Amino acid sequence: MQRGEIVALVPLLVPASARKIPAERTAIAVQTHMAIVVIPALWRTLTQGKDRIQASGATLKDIIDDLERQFPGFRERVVEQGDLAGSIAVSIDGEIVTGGLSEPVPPHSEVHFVPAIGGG
Amino acid sequence: MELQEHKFKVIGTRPIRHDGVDKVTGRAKYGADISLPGMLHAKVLRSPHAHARIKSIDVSAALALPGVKAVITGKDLPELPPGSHQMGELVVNPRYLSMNIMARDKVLYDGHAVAAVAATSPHIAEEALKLIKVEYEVLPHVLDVRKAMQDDAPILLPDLRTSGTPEKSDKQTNIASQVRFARGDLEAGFRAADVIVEREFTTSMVHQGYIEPHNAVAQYNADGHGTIWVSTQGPFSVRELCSHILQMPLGNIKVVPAEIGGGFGGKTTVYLEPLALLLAKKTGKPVKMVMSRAEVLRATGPTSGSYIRCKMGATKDGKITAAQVWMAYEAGAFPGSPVGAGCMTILAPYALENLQIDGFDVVLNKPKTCAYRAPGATNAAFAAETVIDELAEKLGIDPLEFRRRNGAKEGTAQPAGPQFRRIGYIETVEAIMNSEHYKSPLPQVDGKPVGRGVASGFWFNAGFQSTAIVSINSDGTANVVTGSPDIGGTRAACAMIAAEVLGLKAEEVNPVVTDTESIGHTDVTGGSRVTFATGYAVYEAAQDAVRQLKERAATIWKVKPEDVVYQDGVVSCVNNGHEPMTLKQLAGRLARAGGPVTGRAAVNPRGVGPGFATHVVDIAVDPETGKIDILRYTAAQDVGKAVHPSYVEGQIQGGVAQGIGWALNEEYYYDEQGIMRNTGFLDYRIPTCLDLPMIETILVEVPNPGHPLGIRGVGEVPIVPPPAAIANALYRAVGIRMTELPMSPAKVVKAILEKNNAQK
Repeated sequence: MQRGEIVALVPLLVPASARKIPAERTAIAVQTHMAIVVIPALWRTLTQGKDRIQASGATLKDIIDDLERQFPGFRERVVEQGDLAGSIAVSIDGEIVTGGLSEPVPPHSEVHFVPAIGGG
Repeated sequence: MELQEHKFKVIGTRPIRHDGVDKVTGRAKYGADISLPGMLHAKVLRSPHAHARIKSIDVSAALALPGVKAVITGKDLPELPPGSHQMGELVVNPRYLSMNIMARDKVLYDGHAVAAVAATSPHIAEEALKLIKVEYEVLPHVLDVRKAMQDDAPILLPDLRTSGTPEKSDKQTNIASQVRFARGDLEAGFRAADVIVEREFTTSMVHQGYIEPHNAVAQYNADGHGTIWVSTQGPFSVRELCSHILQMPLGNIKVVPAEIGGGFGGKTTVYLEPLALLLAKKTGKPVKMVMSRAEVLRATGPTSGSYIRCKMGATKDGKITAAQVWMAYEAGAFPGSPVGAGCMTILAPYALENLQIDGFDVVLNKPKTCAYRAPGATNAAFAAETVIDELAEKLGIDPLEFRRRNGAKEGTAQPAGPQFRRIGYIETVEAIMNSEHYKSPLPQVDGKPVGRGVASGFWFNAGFQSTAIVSINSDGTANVVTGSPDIGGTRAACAMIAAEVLGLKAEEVNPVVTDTESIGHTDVTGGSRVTFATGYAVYEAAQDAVRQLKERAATIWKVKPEDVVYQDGVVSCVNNGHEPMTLKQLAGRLARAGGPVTGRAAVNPRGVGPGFATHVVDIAVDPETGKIDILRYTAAQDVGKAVHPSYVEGQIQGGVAQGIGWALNEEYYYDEQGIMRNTGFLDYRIPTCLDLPMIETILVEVPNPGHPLGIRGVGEVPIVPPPAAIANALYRAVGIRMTELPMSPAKVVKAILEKNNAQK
């Protein structure tokens, strides 16, 4: 490879419809609008140590409401002044989403709450 | 038009940048060039103490000095409620931000602003500062991050409580927050390892080092509207932050971005802008403020120093089985270090089942930190990439091969949990493996020890909001208007994207960066987001313009718009009988075909593509002085699609140059009183062109499936690998693992002498 070289790879654009859903998720989330929520490590005292929780809801708000129902105290960790806390970002199936509490959560999704990161 | 399958005509070429001539001839207008009739000049009085209570401030003598028009202190700023807000890519606590730009009851670092004076000349303003009498009660200070975490450390902010912990605590503390990422079985993972390496690392606070100091010119009108001209990465952020801090209606503030002489994240916040606007309001005159270099270093956000403990285990066939990290980052005087990002990036290039990463954001008596190019990641990579190098060495595996065996790919879970989509990490490793540099023998230099080192790095990149307007001129050229200040060639990239869609040449598109009243909301230029997100908006706006052009042609031809095709700057009709028109021909007829064509788009795009890099460096060491010379440096990076390859290469070279400075020389030096002693570029040593060879680049294009043009951000990840790559090269040269940054000559000599003494 020479100095300043550009190596262009053949794009492998995989449409979303072709992505496979891991078997464990389909086995667990058997109902419609059930998602798997991965619980941040320091919040697992709320969930009796469990790191993956099944939650139902069509939107992020619904998911959080269901988590609050299962584990009281969860909502205040992610919601501030009626909206998603500014310090929290949400990833659904590996993509940081932008819809706040109204964000649709597809069935069988994997949801992560991660610190919101900017850049420089 | 779907561009993924399109053979690009403009994207990927290297036209001359549109702002180039103005910049090289000195015509470009920077913030300090702005001058308005009747303008006053303001200067800031700064604390001479690292930590002190302000008992009183007497400004009467300053106010009496002829030429002084106003003096403000913290009392002149509104008190704000506690709490943080999301402002685009920033999460801001306006109350703490206000306290940072002007102290209230305490000063928290050497250089903390205490008062500001507006006068008819900068010299009178400086004289007036000397007349302000401030009575301080000096308090104990703390400058070390681990000491600041101790229960007996001096407390900076009495109302601060640690957030993120499992249980709430009401204890006063300097630990602002805690974060943890964990999965798998750490103990089982370490039990399965054949080799375990654990090391501690410290890094010093370093500054972004932009050549252009902070500046602002503000004007306040009697109707309550204000205008700020400023060197900033985010005019809309400046507007919003000033609105919060001064409690002014947001719509009453207009921010005009000047050209910017470097930002790198350090100009994503405000320091002078609210003060200039407040002084303009008090005096009824425009006010100009420009920082000195000493002020920039003392009182604007550097990036965190840190302490990191990193432990990793691997099997003899080179598979990482477990990783455990504990890291504490300096936030400076107010919360907000990039420790979260450090935790999320440190092991991102690797597929790991068992991990635990703990991070702490810690306040101490240094200037409040601000973003610096991949904030948090360079510190983290210095630790992890050194440990990985040592694991590979102990196992007798080539360090690149070791990385390849453990490399993250599509579907790998990141340290924070979400799975990667299509990424190009392993491609960057292989690019270096196959590079002429890596395959060539080490150069020999006058009998000095030489060594070669490699390291990898990662950065998320960002999306966020952008707006763009693409309008067609009557001669067939186009204007592209955005709100993204150009810090790396993004004007050219935006013009090229529009040109590609419209079928024009790049020079036929005029890119304009405009103010907050002339374009829709646009988040900061930062986070490697502009070519991705603003580029996305430009792409969509150009597509909107194409749609309108087809409608105009349909009107002319009296056909349906769906019968019109636009391809490569030519409109034609699917039904024969109509002579095709070039864009130039059509543009001349728009007035009678429906009116002007102005495409617009406002986006908050998803599908952000993260970036990976792998670097190789050859160094020579002078064992008598400890000086490290960079002999050769090659950086391979997954860049998605390089819109303008020269500027992508430039981003890589610039990031590497900063990483080299971070590795070899740069640090904040404080004396025992907590006063910064190297407040100029003579003693705060950043690399110059005399220190560096030409940095070679390999652009690996793995298109981002989340963007119609395959674009990924490129500007930040290049700064991440250099310190670790150089440390690994130093080990191979002299057999010493440096675990402290910078690896300055004195420290290298000391380490060499200690090693020699130990061997005797």
